[in-house]
Amino acid sequence: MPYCVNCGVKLDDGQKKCPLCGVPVVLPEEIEKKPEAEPLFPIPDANAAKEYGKALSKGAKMTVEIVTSLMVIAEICCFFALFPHPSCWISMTSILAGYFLFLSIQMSVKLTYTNIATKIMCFVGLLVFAIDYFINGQISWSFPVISFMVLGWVGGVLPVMVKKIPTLPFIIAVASLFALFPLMDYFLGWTGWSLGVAYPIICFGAVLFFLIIIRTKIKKLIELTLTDIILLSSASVCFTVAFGDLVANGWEGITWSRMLWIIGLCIVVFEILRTSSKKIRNYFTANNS
Amino acid sequence: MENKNGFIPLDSASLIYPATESKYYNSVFRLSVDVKFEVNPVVLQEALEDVIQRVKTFNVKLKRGFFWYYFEKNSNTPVIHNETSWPVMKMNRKKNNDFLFKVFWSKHRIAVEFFHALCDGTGGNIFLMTLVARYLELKDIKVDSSPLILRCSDKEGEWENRDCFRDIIKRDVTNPGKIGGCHHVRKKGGLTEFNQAVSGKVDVDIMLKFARNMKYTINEIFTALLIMSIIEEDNPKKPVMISVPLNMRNIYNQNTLRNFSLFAIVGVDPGMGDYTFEEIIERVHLTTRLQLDRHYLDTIVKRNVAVQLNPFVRCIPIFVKNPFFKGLSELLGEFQYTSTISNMGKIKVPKQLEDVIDRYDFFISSSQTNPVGLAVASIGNTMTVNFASILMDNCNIERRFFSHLVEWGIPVEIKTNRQEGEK
Repeated sequence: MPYCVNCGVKLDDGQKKCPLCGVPVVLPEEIEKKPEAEPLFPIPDANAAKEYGKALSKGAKMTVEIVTSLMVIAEICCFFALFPHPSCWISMTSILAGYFLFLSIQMSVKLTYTNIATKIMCFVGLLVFAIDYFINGQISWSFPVISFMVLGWVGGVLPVMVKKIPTLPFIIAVASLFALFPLMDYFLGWTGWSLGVAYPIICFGAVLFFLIIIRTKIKKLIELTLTDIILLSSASVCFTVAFGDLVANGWEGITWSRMLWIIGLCIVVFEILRTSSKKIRNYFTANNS
Repeated sequence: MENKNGFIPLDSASLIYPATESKYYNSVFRLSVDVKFEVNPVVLQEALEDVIQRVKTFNVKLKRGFFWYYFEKNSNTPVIHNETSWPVMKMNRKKNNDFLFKVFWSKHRIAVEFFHALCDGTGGNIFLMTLVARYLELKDIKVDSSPLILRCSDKEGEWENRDCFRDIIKRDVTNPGKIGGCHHVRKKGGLTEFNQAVSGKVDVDIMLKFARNMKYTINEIFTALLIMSIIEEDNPKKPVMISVPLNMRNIYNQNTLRNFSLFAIVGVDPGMGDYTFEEIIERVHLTTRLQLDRHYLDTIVKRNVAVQLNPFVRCIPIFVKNPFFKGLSELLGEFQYTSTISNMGKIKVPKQLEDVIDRYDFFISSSQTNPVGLAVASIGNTMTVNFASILMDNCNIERRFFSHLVEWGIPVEIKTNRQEGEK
């Protein structure tokens, strides 16, 4: 039976190093090496951990902390902002009641990320709605706030719940954004900003996201280099800004944005050629010999 | 056992456990025997089904009522599971047919993990020994009677399901004095969700001889050694306090399968200067003796139980009560101590069992606040000193603990579930 030369403890036969201090076990060659002893517990296989569920990753934990902290900060800001209002007792009562509920939820539910995030968002949404309705007698500013919270939930919580199709929550988020902005535009008095500014920015974000997904996840299908991503993002920015100008001034009114349309189209054509023709692609790569 | 509505109330000490249960504070403990024969899972399953019919205290599921948690008779059949890679993990009761204990088996091991709301170490030990004895009986090996074994042919005793705390509570005593804060083990390298076990096997005779020479009990030696290891590792400025569970059965001359234990808190304050091992053990010895005073224990029982018997508290809905219980548990429990050492002592079993049992293991779960726990048990001439820790890549306290034992001339054999590459 081997011993650890550092700790002095006896070790199992076949142990390669001391489990306490990490010092390697060196046995003289003339000593017959015995087969490995039975371990204290079975060595875990890939499925062993599944039974106990996956733990939160560091990133998820950080998100929970950020979401929770932001909620609390937002509540405190609401409290002080509404304090000078004549109906401040409503805000005070609802916020104090909210804190009590918040604490109860935090301490009584099972502390999973999705659980906490969903319940906090529901609670803060109700609170915001109540404050807005009681003070203004109608739903005004709370609508966009709640809408953004729902979007945050779709983007931040749904992906954790729906793990099988990772891009599905993103598609839902983008779709809901497309529906949300015109609605908000309508509620706040139609000015057309949802079509001229919001839509192009969403499209730009979506393009960027899909480019990154293609580069990281679907490598076999299309191989995207960093150059491709930069060029396609640039084209996307050009189209975004140009589309804004188009919505604002109409076809007759566009001046400077024409150049952006042309640049964007050039980049897209260039990228199509680069992707389709190996010769052209090789010409633009470093190892073109 | 049941009242007319089919409810089985939890005992006074266990009410806190469901309220405070979480991934890192799961209140689970594990008892296991390594046997010399090869375990047959079919026979073990049959033995378990027989035992659960006899030991009705364990044939329950936990339900959440509006005011309190309560037990209800469990009509499901318990099943045995393959041995796990990590001990004392949070129990998924749904996957375990709602039972609050889980039976594991491997080629040479029968193990049971218990949720603390169900029973304490003594009750759990009786269940395990009854299960092993029943297994042997099914293999046609007659086992002599023992207080640790319940016969399947016997009727359930009234004592088995007794809530002893209610019998001994004295409402007119004062509350115990406040205990201040203490040092908590530093989480260097972060925490892991899987319990890391380090098990040391020690010869009982050698340990007893050493204890006799020192004129202290083995438990006092291990407690003092754990304190010294934590001080050496963390160099704390706050007191290092160890929670030592006390079996109240002998003190109050009562018996039950359910929870009937309290804990003494002993330790030293490194802020008062450097302590030698002799000074630490003397202090541990004296403070343990002081806390074994029955009048002092009465005050702790009153503090722990009276709040649950208060009619005002009883009327508060559970979702309001739970956060307060959680806070109370941290304030009166976890925040008071640095680590826990639980000693089952020497398990005295009939000769037929002693002949087939190779070693006996006891593990207690740790928590985020106190990530290292130590459990000790012995059978025959084998003592197992088992650390369960959620510290990732860090077993320095365990290393210091066992190295000191080796320095004192006590051979220690180490086994662990920490993987190669982890320290």
